[in-house]
Order: sequence, then C-alpha cells, then structure tokens
Amino acid sequence: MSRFVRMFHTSIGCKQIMAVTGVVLVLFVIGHLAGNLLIYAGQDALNQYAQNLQSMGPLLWLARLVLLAAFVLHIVAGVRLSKLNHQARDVRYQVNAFSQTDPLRKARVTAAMYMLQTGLVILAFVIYHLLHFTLGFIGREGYQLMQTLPDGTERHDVYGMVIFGFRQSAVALSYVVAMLFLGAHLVHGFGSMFQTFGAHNPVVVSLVKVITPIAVAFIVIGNCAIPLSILLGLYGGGGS
Amino acid sequence: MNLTLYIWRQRDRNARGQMVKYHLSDVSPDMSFLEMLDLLNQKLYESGEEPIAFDHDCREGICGMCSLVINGQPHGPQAATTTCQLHMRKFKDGDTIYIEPFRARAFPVIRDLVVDRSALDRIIQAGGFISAPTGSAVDANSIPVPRDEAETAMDAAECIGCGACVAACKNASAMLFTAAKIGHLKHLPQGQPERRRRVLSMVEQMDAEGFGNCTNYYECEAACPKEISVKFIAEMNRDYLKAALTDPNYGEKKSSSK
Ligand code: HEM
Ligand code: FES
Repeated sequence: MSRFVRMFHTSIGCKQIMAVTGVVLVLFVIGHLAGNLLIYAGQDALNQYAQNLQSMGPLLWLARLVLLAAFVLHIVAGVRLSKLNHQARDVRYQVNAFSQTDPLRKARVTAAMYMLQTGLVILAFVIYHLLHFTLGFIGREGYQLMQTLPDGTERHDVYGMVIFGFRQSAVALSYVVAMLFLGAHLVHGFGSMFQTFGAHNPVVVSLVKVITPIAVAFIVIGNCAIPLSILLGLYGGGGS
Repeated sequence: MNLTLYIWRQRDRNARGQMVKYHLSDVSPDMSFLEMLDLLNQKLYESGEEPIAFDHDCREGICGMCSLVINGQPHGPQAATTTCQLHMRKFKDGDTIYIEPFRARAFPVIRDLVVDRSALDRIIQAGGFISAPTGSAVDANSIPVPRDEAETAMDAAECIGCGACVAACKNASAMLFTAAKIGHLKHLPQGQPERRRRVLSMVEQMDAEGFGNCTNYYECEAACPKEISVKFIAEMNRDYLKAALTDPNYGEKKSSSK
C-alpha cells in the first residue's frame, strides 16, 4: 500500500497507475462491446446474456468494484498529472510549432493534447449511460419493459429497452458522439500504455502502429453501429 | 538578407519581459544563427542600446550551451542541429523570425534569452554517476562490454544536456534528458550496482525541480539536436516500475538522498 502511495506521488509512478487502470478500462470496453453486439443475435440472446450477468451475484459486484476503482484512480491520476503538466510550463510560447513531420504522429500528438478533455466527456457520458440503461433513472418507460418467457416467468427486456432508447434521435446521437470522444482518447491512449510500461522495441512499435487503428475502429464502429442501425430503422423493426 | 526579428527582452529574473521588434539588414546566408545575433548586438551596441543576452560557448554543437526557441522550435527548424550549427541559409530574405527563451517553470529566465538550466545539473547530482574506488586505474578493457550494449550506451551518452527536450515538450518534461543520463549508465556493467537507486532518485529529483511528466508526445525526440530516442524513456519507465515494486525500501517514507 505504501509503495502505491509513493508511486502515486511521483511522475512516472502516477502515470503507470493511469496506464494499469487504462488497461482495465480498455479490456472492459472491448468485453462490454462484445456482449452488446449480441443484440444482433436477437432478443433472446441479449436478454439471456443480461440475465446471466445478473445471476453472477457477488462476482458481478466484485467486477463492478474493480471497474469503479480503476475508473476513479484513472481520473484522479489523470487530473493530478494534467495539473502538474500545466504548471510546469508557466509562461507560454508566443509561437508554437510541431517539430514532428509524420502526419500520423501529428494526429496522435493532437489527440494527446486533449486527453483530459476527451476523458472528461467520457466521464460525463458514463454517468449518463449508467443513469439511463443500468439504473433506469432516465428513460424509465424503456427500462420497465419486461419479456415474458414461454414458461410464464418474466425477465428484464434489455433488448426492448435498447431499441426503445435508440429510436429517440437525441439519445442515439449522444451515444455516437461520446464514442467518437472515446475513440480520440484511445488514438493516443492505446499506444501510450505500452511506452508507459516500457515496452518500446521495433516489434512493439510496429505492432502498436497496426493494432491502434484496428482496435479504435472496432470500438468506435462497433459501439456506434448499435444506436445508428436502430435509429435509421435498419435493425429492431421499422424506423420511428 | 533583410530580416524582421521579434526577440524576448527581460531585464532580470523578476522583471516582466516582452517581445521587441528589430530590423536587421546585411545578414549573410553563410552566417550561423548566433553570428546573426552577434551582428545585431554589434549594431545595438553602436547605437548605445543594451545588447541581447544569449547563451553560447563551443559554437560547434558539442557543449549544449546554446538554446533559443526559433519560430516555435527549439534550436530552430533544422533537424538534429543546435542553434550554433544552424545557418541563415535556412531562412529567406524578408523572413520574420520569433526568438524566445526555453520556457519551463524549472528554467527561470535570467536575462533576455538566457535561462537557468542548473535543475538539469541537480538531476545528475542525484544519481547520474557511478561510485568507483580511487587509487590505481583499472586496466583498460578489463571489463568486457558487449558491442551492441556499448553502442546503445553511446547513443544515450550523446546527450549534451541542452534542455531542448524540455523546451519542446508541451509539459516541459525533462524525461528525455533524465532517461538519456540513466540510459548511458544502465547499459554498461559499471552502472549496474547503483541502477535501482539511480532511477529512483533521479526521477524524484526531476519531479522536485518542477518539470512536467511525459505524456508520450515525442516532440522531445524530434527537437533533440542529438536525436536521442524515446526508447530510453521507455527503459526508464520500466526500470522505475521494477524498482518501485522490488526495492525493499521503496514503501518507506521518501529516502532522503541528502
Ligand atoms: C472508458 C473510459 C476510459 C478509457 C478506456 C481510458 C483509457 C486510457 C488509456 C489507455 C490511457 C493511456 C495511459 C498511458 O498513457 O499510459 C489513458 C490516459 C489518460 N486518460 Fe483515460 N480512459 C478512460 C477514461 C478517462 C476519463 C474519464 C478521464 C478523465 C479525466 C481520462 C483521462 C485521461 C488522461 C488525462 C490520460 C493521460 C493522457 C496522457 O498521458 O497523455 N480518461 N486513458
Ligand atoms: S554553443 Fe555549444 S552546442 Fe551550441
């Protein structure tokens, strides 16, 4: 524990805490998306998946706890380092120029400059998303939908709730926008993790170059496809 | 060549500085950037004005004294070049050039374009050395060093400590400098005994000086006149992590290095 405290108070240690929690969050985002894509396997598949998750009981709460801790640590570390970094350049330059010329690298630097901002948008989105689909404080009508099984029992109709939610264009579009911010965050964050842990050799560097666009595209396109296909009436029966 | 120059003027540490505009004519394209400033200073001197203070020493790219941020780039637009090695033929007749000091909280401006870079010296003092017994010198070549390790150590040792990495970094981080100093020792057998303590104390000294933290932009590498690779930052990160997890004293309250 005291090791952790000292790490948190140093530049590299704090960054490594951000990177470890970043790994947890990225793995979660990928797992979460894989589960949600079950929506395309139909109502029964998605609802069954949701029911299975719910029935995990204490394990589910353990996973939620780990995620929450990772998320909070990631944010606290991110805000701490951003503040220190801002203070470290107390007088700004009159003229700013990049020394790097590679266009891909320039794109990553631009993404890197707005990590705190894109992160804060993700935070706002996560709160909204939890209130919406997990707790049902927003969009109550959809949340209350139930599916009646052949044996007469009822279960939460996650499928119906998602379709109901994304038929509203404001809701669907807010999800799409949030995912674009997540993509921007990961354009830099994904490769940055490797450097922070010290994995920098020709193999890792070229793998990161190849995997970053694939991973970011998978996360952004996958997550945007669900609200967009429903909003446009391509999936889930008829448009609004 | 005729140039319009905007140059940062500041009387001392505590004074407020500002950009001042100068016109300079008769600049030869064969002059180095510092010779161009010498010419300007000559003219200022002749007209009774205070010449512009700027750092320089060897003027051949090895001492690391020269600095300056030229049109937003430390050591100017040419890659792998110190300001003293930059020539005016890189610019065009009629150009406007903005010249600012290296900017970082840890590099206070002393006067005009001169900044105090002694924070870098204190990082080295914190651990950028090996402890060797004095007495008769050890035979040369008595410690074998694998060739590729020796080459990597030399790559890191090319760092001239100019601070351009700090100036280029959006966070004014000194990680490329610190990583190079750690890197050139950690690749040699002589650097091994103090390896763990070195990375801990140099990194923590770097933090204490008020430098920022690396967010992996790699502008430092692009600005470095010696093209030190950011792979040394990765190595430093790895060594730091290893030391933080395995050093028996790491969990204790801060090891007082004094
Ligand atoms: C699902 C949500 C999120 C994921 C998957 C994620 C992922 C990541 C990853 C992988 C990194 C790279 C770590 C490294 O550089 O070693 C990172 C960095 C960062 N994140 Fe997040 N993050 C998320 C949410 C947030 C939030 C809510 C904030 C709010 C403050 C935030 C702020 C930052 C900052 C400031 C950095 C440092 C950027 C840098 O070093 O250049 N992130 N994130
Ligand atoms: S004056 Fe010595 S490196 Fe430029």
